[in-house]
Amino acid sequence: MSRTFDEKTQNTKEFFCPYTSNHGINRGRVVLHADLNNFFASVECANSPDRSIFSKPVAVCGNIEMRHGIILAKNEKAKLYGVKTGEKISDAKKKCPSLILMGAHYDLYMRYSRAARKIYQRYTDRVEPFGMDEAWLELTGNDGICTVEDGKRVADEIRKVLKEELGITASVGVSDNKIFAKLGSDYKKPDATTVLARDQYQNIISPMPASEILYVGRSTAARLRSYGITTIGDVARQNPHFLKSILGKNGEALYTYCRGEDTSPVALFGEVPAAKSMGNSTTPPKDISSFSDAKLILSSLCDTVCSRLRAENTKCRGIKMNFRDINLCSFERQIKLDFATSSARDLLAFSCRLLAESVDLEKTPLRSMGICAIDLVPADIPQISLFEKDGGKKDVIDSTVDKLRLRFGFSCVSTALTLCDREKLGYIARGYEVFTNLR
Amino acid sequence: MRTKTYVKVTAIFDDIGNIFPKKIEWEDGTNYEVDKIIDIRPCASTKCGGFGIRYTCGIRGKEAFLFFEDNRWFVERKD
Repeated sequence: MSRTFDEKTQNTKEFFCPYTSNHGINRGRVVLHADLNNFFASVECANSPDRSIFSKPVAVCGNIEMRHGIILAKNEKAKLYGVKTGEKISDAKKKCPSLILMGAHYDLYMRYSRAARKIYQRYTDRVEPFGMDEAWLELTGNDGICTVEDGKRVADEIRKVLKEELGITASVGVSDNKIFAKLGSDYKKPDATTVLARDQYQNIISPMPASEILYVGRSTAARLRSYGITTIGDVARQNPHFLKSILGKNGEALYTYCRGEDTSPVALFGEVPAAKSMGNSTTPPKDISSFSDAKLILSSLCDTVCSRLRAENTKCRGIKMNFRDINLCSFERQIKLDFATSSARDLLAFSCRLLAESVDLEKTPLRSMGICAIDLVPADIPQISLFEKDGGKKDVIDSTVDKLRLRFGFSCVSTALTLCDREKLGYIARGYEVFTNLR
Repeated sequence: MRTKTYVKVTAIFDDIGNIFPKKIEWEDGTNYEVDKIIDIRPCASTKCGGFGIRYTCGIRGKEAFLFFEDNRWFVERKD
């Protein structure tokens, strides 16, 4: 039982959080969350023949000519100058004129990422990657590991091995559930182990901002704040029905997260959960200022998204589009379909409709655009619309296109529309050089 | 100061997949026999950058590191 002060009622109220109890959920679990610090920048430094680079501010940036010229990652020295991920290179250079800019090398990052995961697998087969640079490790049940203190010993060893074998550092969180383990790895950076156990709940976890919890983004945090809920402890004290009423089903999940009651297991390495959505986006070399340009880009995006859908034997029953205008304002729109499809023609038709309803391109041109197939269902379950009368012709065409691409490469067949103006395109989608190969 | 220098290596692959370097060919064509392998471990190159399997080799009475990185061999050459 804990005592907290309620500002509204000016009373001291008591609440029971089972997480602090000795018999609570997750008792006996040991979960680690490893986060490779400033990953892209660390890899560039670790791989650089110039060893003096470690004492200089370094940032990894996108391709300026392709208008991807933003800071993707920065090292600790650059952070001291206030360089931020996602900001324009010119702004970063203003803050730190001596900033060393390096291009991104995704193959290299993947090699380091794979090597780090191999190191984790020496300690457990339950290694669940979370992006390229993060992973959860479940140590529960491993020989001689039964407390978070044992977990700390393993975490320290992992950090040492990462430094010796790869030359990069990691922050590792240790707890008895995935959410607090992740909270721990964010708590102290770089190169640190943080244990967040039950006895630290009241002193450390409870007063932390709710925005520190995984999946609480800016808008959720703002919504919680509008109800006077600012800390993890505040969320844990709420009625779960109230949280559901303001945040939907995510409110219930957040309630369990903040009380340390998340019981989701760490997946076995290699276990890939079924995708919930598939999408592609692009920032073309020029702003999108007309509907015909937008349709051209959408056509190529729909083509790659649908190829991926068909490769995974799935169809979608909804489309979500995201836009970023020239003022760097981002927004999303979505539409539900009354049938399931993996046809690029269907996606293009609906996405064009959604685009026309959502954006006035002449007034505010777009800088980037993306399309995401949502509400996925297995393709083998027939879902026929009452209004669809093509007799399966689209499926036959798509299947033929897929076979051709399998044999002769992705760019061997494309819609005529995308041949109109190749210069407006020129992005690389999921490993396929879609348009640069159109000769 | 050291420079990462990729070199040609003659190696033996044993029946369980272990790789043992036997001879290093330097840039100028000189061959150096690996007299003995003192240590093998995954390791980052602290002097030149990169990571791989580091072989500590005994060559002509001296110890030298030879790295096997992403299917290429390199040494940390003194400038």
